[in-house]
Amino acid sequence: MTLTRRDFARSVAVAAVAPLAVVPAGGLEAKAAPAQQTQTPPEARALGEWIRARYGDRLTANQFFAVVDDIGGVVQRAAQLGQVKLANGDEPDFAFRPYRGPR
Amino acid sequence: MYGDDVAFLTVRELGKRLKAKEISPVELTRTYLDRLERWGPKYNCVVTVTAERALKEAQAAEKEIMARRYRGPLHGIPYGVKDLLAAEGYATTWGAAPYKDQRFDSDATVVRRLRDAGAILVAKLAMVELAVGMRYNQANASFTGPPTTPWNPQYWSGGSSSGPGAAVSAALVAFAIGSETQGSIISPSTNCGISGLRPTYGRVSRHGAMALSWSMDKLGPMCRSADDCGVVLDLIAGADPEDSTAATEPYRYEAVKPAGGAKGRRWRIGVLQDPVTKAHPDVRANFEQALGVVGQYAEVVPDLTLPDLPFAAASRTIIDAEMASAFEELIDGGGESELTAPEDRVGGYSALVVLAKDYLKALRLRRKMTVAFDGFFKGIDALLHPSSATPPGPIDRPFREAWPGYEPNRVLGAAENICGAPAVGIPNGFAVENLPTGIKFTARAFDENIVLALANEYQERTDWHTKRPPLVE
Repeated sequence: MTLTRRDFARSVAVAAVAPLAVVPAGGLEAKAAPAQQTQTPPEARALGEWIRARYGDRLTANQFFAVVDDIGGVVQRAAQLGQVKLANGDEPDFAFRPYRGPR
Repeated sequence: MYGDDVAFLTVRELGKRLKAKEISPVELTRTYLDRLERWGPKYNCVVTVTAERALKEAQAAEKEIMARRYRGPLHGIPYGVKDLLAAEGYATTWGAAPYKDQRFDSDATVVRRLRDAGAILVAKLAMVELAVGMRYNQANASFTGPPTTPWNPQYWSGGSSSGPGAAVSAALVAFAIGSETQGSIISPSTNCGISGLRPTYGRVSRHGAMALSWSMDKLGPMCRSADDCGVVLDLIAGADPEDSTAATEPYRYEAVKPAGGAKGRRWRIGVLQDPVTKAHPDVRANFEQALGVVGQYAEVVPDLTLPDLPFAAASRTIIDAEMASAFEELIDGGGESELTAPEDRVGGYSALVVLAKDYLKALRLRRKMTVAFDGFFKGIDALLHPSSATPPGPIDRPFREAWPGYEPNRVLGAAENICGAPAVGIPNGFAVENLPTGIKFTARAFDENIVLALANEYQERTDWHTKRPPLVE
């Protein structure tokens, strides 16, 4: 079962009365992987690995679960955006202004 | 010092009395400074009281007014700003422990404009750390403690402009400046029973304000009446060479009539299909009552549906991507771990993996969304909706456990923000536990005068905005 935000809130309440243990990368993988493989989208797990590679040394197992849970939302939203078809000429809505400074 | 009867006056009324020399800017400033010291800690709504600067500005205002050099309707009026706006000489904390000693050497444009108008900065006000950027899920998400609504200090003031909401509500300032990326002016205005205006994106310069999302952040007034919001917006709006996104369209606050030219044409107010089916019963009852009042001066057009586009997914994708870049240094450096809410300490990581193609897709969709949302207003002047589906939540419980079973219209909140549309939130009654509820009018981009006219009409017919919270020692 995937850890939800609510589970995470509960877990941090527990963590508030006990010192947080920083889980090394290997240990984290051993604990996290079986739970995540059931429901978390594979893209979220892959992107989570990027987070773990860069920041895993500062995240506890519960924190990492919460991050991957959040990434599931990122992936889901990207899929929703992908369902809308756009034409090649549909440009991003940002305004770039070339700069010409004073002389 | 003055009592409640002066402290709770509207900006417009204070301005009249100051101009007529019936009240003194120095005494008025001392009144609010005293109230800030006395009640600010009770509601956790103040970060810094700017007493030294305030008294200097007040003395200058008094001298000018006595010499008949009157600058306008804000001359001599004390105000506060959400602590994401830079003010020279004081810390600008962004509500977050990692930035509690941060200082800037100049005023934000909006603070400078208010100074030029003769207004007096008395306080920098509390806010949700980093203005909600890190996905907090509880009231205790500011390094100054959980801000509470003066109507019931066991309940949250709303966020992220939490301090401005509570401080205006308790008359600790005459008005305040808040900011909204998505919901952050309307939410605290609702929870604190005050009037808040989220202007069109670009209407007010963001220079000197913390950036959460460059393309979605807006600054706006939070006041004790909708009319006051117009008075303040009139003086802070306008182009700014320091902010390339500041709109060049001129703005003047003025009374407007329904468009169309036909004599006697009434306003046309749209309402979404099933606007309150997922709302708390008290919110529902108050909204239905408000509809009755609005029906006295407008034709209500029911059963509207928003354009079928992924507004919520796009707005969140844009906010995530821009926030991840704005706070890359904080996250990379591990500074997130110093934030107050445990979920905020890890909330930024997932935003780091939003793909560039998805951010660009959201921006490409945004163009279509703004066109579709503008088209949605064809045939109506504005949309009316409850400004929150529930009363404020208690400060000791996660948001999702506060009022289970009720849901806000997240699509509308996302649509109006991603499209940069203006809205004004105003009080419309009370729910259980003496907690305020509200309604909001939303209109097309740059139609602030329409939403303000509609809110003014509502406030002329009701007295919810004149109620005072029961301040206790």
